[in-house]
Amino acid sequence: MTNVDEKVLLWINSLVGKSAALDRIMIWLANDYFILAIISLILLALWFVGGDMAQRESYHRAIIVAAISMGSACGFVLAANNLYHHDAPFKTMPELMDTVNSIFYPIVDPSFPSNTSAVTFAAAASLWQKSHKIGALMLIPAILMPFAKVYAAVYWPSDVVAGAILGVLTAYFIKWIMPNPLFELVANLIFKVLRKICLA
Amino acid sequence: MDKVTSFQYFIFVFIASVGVLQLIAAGTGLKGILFFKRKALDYLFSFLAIGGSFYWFFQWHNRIDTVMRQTGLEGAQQFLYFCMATFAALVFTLIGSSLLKVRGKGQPKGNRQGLDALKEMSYFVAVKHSFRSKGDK
Repeated sequence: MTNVDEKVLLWINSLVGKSAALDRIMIWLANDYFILAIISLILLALWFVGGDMAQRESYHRAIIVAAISMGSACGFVLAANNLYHHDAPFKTMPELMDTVNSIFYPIVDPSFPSNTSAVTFAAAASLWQKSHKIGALMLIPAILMPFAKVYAAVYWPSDVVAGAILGVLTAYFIKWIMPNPLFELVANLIFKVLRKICLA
Repeated sequence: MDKVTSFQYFIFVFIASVGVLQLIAAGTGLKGILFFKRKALDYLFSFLAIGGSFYWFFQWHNRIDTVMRQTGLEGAQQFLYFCMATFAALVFTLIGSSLLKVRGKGQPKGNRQGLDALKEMSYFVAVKHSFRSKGDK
């Protein structure tokens, strides 16, 4: 497994420096703020989408599930960090440090599982359950950001895959535990207030 | 080397969110929260706000290759400041658009509720109408 991980990482990382345009794109995609801001702004925009009140409420519920899933995924990543630890690629192979610095920066947090892919996949999987079209659209940034970090040798491919699985499982878990009487009571009350003040 | 500050992130998200709200309002027909009477101007404003905020935050003084090459805001901080900035952008949009529509469109039309009310009237008028209609029953 470690060997496969290393081979895939080195193959992807060997592309660094071959094309200035590709490196530039990866700098943007790996950035700590760029993709996450885009995903969050899409969630904001979706709040206002929907032809009628019922359709809009289903979007609102999906957005709430996505927000809770993204936050919970971060929590699960922290818990997983304490269960298993391995060094980031540039720590195992210091010769990769130059490529790390040319695209991103050396991270200090544990790399397994990837926090980035857990959060982005949690958002995509939450919206996938509402609409496959929107979910697929969100899957693009969800894949690109962690890929850029593998490209920069910040994460191992297995970190990204583990993060993605954790993110997807979190989204389905949150969606599964949501339909309970207490949540429905609170959600219905919030929607009622938001409708009264013309925000839902 | 400077770091990305929470204030810079707040301003970036605030301006981008105002742009997104105008863009989506123009696209979905929520005329009550538009800043301009002409849709074309709203689209122009949206693209300038979104594009300008991204350019300023990432490209101004080549920040993406300098200040962003180190740990800045943690995930939880980003989430917190994003929520605060988005809320501020929403309040700014609702108040700003209502003040711009203070003349004309004074009387509510139709009986739409919730967000749909913003398709016909400004936010202030819609909220007033929403609370009045409950009192009438």
